[in-house]
Amino acid sequence: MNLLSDPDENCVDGMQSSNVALRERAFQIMMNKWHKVIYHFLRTMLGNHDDAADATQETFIQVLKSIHGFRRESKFSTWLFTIARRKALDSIRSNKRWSSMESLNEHNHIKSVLQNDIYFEGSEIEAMLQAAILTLPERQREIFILRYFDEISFAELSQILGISEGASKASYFHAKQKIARFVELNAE
Amino acid sequence: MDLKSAQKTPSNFFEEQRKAIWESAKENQENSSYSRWRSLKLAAVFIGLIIGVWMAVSEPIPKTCQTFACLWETTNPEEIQLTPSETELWLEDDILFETLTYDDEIHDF
Repeated sequence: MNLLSDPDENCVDGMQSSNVALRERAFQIMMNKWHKVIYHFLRTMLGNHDDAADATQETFIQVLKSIHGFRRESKFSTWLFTIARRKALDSIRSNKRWSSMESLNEHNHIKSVLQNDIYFEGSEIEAMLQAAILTLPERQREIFILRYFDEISFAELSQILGISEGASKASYFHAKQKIARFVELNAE
Repeated sequence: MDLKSAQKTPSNFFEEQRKAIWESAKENQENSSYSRWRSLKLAAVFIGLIIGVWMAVSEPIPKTCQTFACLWETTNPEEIQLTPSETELWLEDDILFETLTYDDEIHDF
């Protein structure tokens, strides 16, 4: 499923309305569609529930605050992911836990990182994939998650990230290589 | 492979967060509405004050004519309503007659 195929114009109209009941209804519809998507994007970006929960809340509060400024120059989903990734980057930069993420190359360290997240209940291979993603530099990490999990096209990725399509393809390629290398090194 | 199934959340997390987001946004909206209302009120008072000052300053000062020429200049001839006897009286006034006859247009009068 391509998540960006339905911009849901009606929701935007409703959320921009001055009628509170209509606005709330539109908000609920928008949340039904995007709440979990954005949460899982942020959870994979940040590696733990607490930071993802905070960033998700900040993202949607920002959406409601700024919705009147949304001019439909891009799809709603593109705009939403742009806000979400900014919140993720704010969280990464303000959180010292993740500042030395690239040095995490030992399986024990990775395990300890994931143990901090009491809500992670994945298999060994899922834990390794999550850890591998966390070792990626911010740009590659967000490109990999948006492309691999959310199936966002390179054209839309370039809009969200403000880079060329070629650059996003190159970043995705490098991210995949790094993840494969990480899994190879740590799969023992 | 999708990590979503491995990423658990506390029970009712999404429902509660949704409520919290809506409440927080509503609070922000109310605060901004209140401050917008206050700003509008202040702006209205300020605009009223400006208009009042402008009207007081720009009100035309009534001009009182000291001479007949001035009175003649500032009066619309169509507004002058004289009875025939008044006209007769005016015409008998030599000085006034001479003043008036300086003007070619009035010469035929």
